[in-house]
Amino acid sequence: MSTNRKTMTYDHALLLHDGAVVTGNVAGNIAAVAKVLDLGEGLVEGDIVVDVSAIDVDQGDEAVTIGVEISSVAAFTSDYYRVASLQIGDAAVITGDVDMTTGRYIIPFRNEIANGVQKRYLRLYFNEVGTTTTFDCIAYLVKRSNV
Amino acid sequence: MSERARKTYDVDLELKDAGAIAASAAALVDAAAKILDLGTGTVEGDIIIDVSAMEVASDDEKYIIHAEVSSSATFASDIYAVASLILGSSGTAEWDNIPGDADMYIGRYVLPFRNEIVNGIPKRYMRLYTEVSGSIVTGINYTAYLSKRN
Repeated sequence: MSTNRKTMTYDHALLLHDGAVVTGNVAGNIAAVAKVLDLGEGLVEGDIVVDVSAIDVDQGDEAVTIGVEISSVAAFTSDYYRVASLQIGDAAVITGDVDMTTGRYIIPFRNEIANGVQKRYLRLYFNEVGTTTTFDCIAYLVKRSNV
Repeated sequence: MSERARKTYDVDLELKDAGAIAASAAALVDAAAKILDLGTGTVEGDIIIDVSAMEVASDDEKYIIHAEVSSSATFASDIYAVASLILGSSGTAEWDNIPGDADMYIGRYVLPFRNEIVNGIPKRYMRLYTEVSGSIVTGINYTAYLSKRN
């Protein structure tokens, strides 16, 4: 089966996380400031490109969940929802039976909760578990690719 | 603004038929584990999930619907969860149970899907797997199918 690592156009305005090392539970950030995208009104579909440059799985208990969250509130102080997530890390603690570590992941995305209700603001949120978890990635939103 | 997604239903792409789930399990159709053969190469689509019932009475119920892919037609090995939707009670405080501050409850959800793991490596077979936790009596009931992307 062929492998086709996706190449997509990068728009700096759609950057969601800039590569700062992630520790604990934290929102995606740029220059240490939490990053929230304003998607405008209506439905937005896209792909989130996540380039994972480092994840430690040495202890066999490390995992990082990359959550795609939306809200009607620009500051994410209320009315926020996780509409897609990807968990990577050691196979002992993630769903599946194979480690998921460094490389490029694509998370398809829609800014909807149930019954097509859309929310205007988007962020990433990282949750780490494990004894010695280190995690680093760059993430950005792109127009949906053609396969 | 909202518009409930409408998609063409193909019975061959059904991933789960109606039936309550009270414990973690792979999705069934006609009481048999349902695995789709997507063929070789990349497949993109939307998974339509119609949740008809969900227990949230204890404020600790959580239901994670994983879209899993594998190179094994029986999912005996080489299994990856490539997209996940977390539903259930938000708990008694923010982030108490599921991420966010509001219940993710009944209705129609659209979970976008690609059969790829890292670096564009596609896997041929897919299924849904429901991970259930909390004080469960009746659990969750939903149907699901794969559809062409809008």
